[in-house]
Amino acid sequence: MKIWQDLLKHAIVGSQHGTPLPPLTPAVLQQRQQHWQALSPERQVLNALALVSAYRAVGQTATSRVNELPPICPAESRAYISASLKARLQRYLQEQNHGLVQEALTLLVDKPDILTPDILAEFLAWCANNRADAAQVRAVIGQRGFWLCAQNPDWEHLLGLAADDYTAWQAAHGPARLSLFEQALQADFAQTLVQLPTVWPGENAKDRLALLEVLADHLNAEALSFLQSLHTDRSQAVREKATQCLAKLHDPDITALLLDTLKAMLSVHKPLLGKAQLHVRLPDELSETWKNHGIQEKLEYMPGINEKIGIKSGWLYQWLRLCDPLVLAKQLDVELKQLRDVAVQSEFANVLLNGLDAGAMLHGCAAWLPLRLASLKPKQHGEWLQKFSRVLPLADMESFMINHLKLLTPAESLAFLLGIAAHYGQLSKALALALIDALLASQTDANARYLYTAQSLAQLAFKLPLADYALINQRLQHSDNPHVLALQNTFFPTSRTASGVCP
Amino acid sequence: MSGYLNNAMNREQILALAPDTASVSAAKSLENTKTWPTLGFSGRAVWGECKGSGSNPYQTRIDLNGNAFKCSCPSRKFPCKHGLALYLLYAENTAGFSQSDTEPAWVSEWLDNRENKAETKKAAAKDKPVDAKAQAKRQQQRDTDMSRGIAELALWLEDLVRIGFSELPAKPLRYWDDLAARMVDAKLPGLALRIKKLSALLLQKGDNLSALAEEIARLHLLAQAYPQRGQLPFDSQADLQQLLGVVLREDEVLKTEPVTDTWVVLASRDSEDNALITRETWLLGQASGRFAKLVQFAHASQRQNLIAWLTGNRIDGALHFYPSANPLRAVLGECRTDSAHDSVPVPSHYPSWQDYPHWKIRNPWLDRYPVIIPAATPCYQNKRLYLRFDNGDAIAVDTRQMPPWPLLALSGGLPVPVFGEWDGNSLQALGVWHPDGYTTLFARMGNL
Repeated sequence: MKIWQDLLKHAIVGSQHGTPLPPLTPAVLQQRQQHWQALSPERQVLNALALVSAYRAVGQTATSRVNELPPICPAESRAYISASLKARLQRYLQEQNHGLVQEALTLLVDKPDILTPDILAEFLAWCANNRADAAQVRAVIGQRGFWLCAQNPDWEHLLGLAADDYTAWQAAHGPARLSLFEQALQADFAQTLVQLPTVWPGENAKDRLALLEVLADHLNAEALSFLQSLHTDRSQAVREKATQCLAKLHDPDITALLLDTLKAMLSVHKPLLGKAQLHVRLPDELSETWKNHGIQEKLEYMPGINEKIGIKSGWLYQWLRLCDPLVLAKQLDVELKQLRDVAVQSEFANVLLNGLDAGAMLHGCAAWLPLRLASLKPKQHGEWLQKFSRVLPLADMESFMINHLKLLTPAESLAFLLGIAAHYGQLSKALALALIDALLASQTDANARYLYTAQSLAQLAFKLPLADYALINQRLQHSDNPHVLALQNTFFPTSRTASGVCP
Repeated sequence: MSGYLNNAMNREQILALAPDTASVSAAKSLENTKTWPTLGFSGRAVWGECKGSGSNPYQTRIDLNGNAFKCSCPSRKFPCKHGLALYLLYAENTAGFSQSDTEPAWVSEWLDNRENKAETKKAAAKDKPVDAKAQAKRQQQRDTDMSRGIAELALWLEDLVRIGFSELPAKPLRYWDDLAARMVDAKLPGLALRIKKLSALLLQKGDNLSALAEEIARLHLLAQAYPQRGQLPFDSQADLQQLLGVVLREDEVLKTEPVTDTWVVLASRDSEDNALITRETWLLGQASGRFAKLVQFAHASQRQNLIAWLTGNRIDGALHFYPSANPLRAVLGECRTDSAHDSVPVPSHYPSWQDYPHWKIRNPWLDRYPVIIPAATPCYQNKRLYLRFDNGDAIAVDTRQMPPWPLLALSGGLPVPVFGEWDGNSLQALGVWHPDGYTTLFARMGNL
């Protein structure tokens, strides 16, 4: 209705500009308008808005035309899963119990049954958000699932790539695009890498960074030439990420530049008597070469620590976090332990140690962790163990974790284990038993019981090694605490056995 | 015995009451008559004693009218595993229960307490001696406050039109909150909510200034109608009062003429705002074809006090409707819940969505109203969901709160009847009849 648009323009501009109110249409409305001539301009506008709004509401049909019908979904030839399995899967989905959904999916793949239509949308949304294996998904969604995926651009990738089509990610968008890009990288890394420079100039900085982060999870030497070309990228964040990837791949140019820079700044003075000392000479300015490699000129805070840092110290921190501490120690002609010692003694200790921590995490330097822990108070170990659990395998961490758990109260142990379990597919037997002990002990402490929810417990339970189920279950059964039965049911739902969740 | 058995819910319905997966598993492990030395039921309740780790067994009881649970176990979950297990046993193994006309004291006391509470609530207002003079004085003060608030709103609306809507997106939230607070002071909480809605509208994408203008128009109409409310029909006066936030007391609603029918539960939805749980339950009268909506409130910590009806439950008896030009909100009168049914047949008669303009004429502030859209094909085009009729006409489905995929998945590209709330422009879909039955939609929106 044009009169509504005219009135709206009038209201947007405001009556203070003195623009006359348009005559209302149709005539029946105009007759009413004539009764308001004596009112203030504001009242006239409000009356007109109310009248036309009501007229529109009672007179409009509110229908539109849709000429084309969507294709009808083909009939299913396979049976649906049972109502009880559907209800169970629905619960896992609603509680976002990712581990059990994934386990149920893995087992459903071997069954002839398919998911019912009322659970499909929620299940496919979960699959898209959790990057589920597309081949497994296709095996359980039936015709209805295929039909639904074809209508949702975010789920299209679940339909799978054609055998030789690894370009679909270019046309996709959002999480689906990243998922398709990842699939393409896994399927044919070299070919996908060839495609990347062709789309790169047309992408915005956020998308370029997102693609680079996916690439960073699948790094290999074939990516070197592409990463090297990124030093001219418009975005500092992209250049910084590319440099990190190059450092991780031990790119000769970046490694040499980095070691030259650090050697020019750091030297270890070893007197005949007394302790060795680290001399730090910060440069006066940041070279253009390093700016092109994404080093931030004014880093205000050390990332993850939220501690203010000076401009030049910020450069030192950023260089250190690119460098493997073992390689740096060798360059400075000292043992790693000695490097730690001189760093602790230095007036730049905070910057040096945090930079070396970040470097060790980038390069997965397991030798740094025990040295670093030794420089910390025992109470601080938990924080560092959690940080390194993101990058180091459990085997390198387990003994430190077990030692650390001995210092903690049951509630603290539980919080610590909840934190580290998130980074590992499965806990070791020793950690699983420590976890059970902490849980049992926490049952006598009402405050500790509030530390976790049923959902977090269920996800933690999924990290228990299936091979040791019987032993863990036995440990729980020996407790006579009334809360333990509920705990046991969470950890050992009747649906889960040593061979996995039972559909 | 079989007569009572018919009142039990089926397994899926009972398990749907469980607070989490762990409770389901735990309840299943107790679904064995050996762990229950005592099992009994009467016309109004089911009870049992369950062996636990303590010296005394846990005493568990279920009020069949409204599916209310109580257990003496220390669990913080509601319902607890004992309640669920007892209900499952009753639904599937009634032979193991002894029927009795008299409940044990620990059951009857609880049931009596529940009934007394309900009665007390109803009778409280009735029994309270009314100080007519004080009441008149309070009413007069309230009228004065409300008139002052309405006058302030009218003035504010004129200011808004004078400066122009283009200035509004730059206004801080405080601008809206201050006015909303003044409306609350003037005993107009309904208007305060509408003012806050205006600020929320400005944050929305799309044609938000047009939507804002519509809302401003409705507020202006309200500000003009209030001083002349005495000339409006009684039902329109009630709608006006409800808009302003003056809600009739339940005991007063119970004095209105009851509407007796078999009411089928079509959907039930909980929403939470500032720890206040609001449970809305939509009903459809099978004989009358009338819609009704039950609204319950509780603090988050008292969620268990809300009656939990499940889709497909029948409520046989009387509803009392709040006065309105288009009566919808109702309270339960004398009635009985029959939980046996879980299927919801497509109703044979119901109000047509095309009647919405008539309802809107009766109540110009009408927002959404429940409707059933007869068989139409869900079509997803240009990122919008439509329900397309055979002749090619289509109505839009609002997907801001409910993604289009569950409805599409259930239809499979075939025409399906849809239950929802219609606002004259778009439908908020709440349930759908598909070849395998009836399914509510919004329960699944959380993870989509």
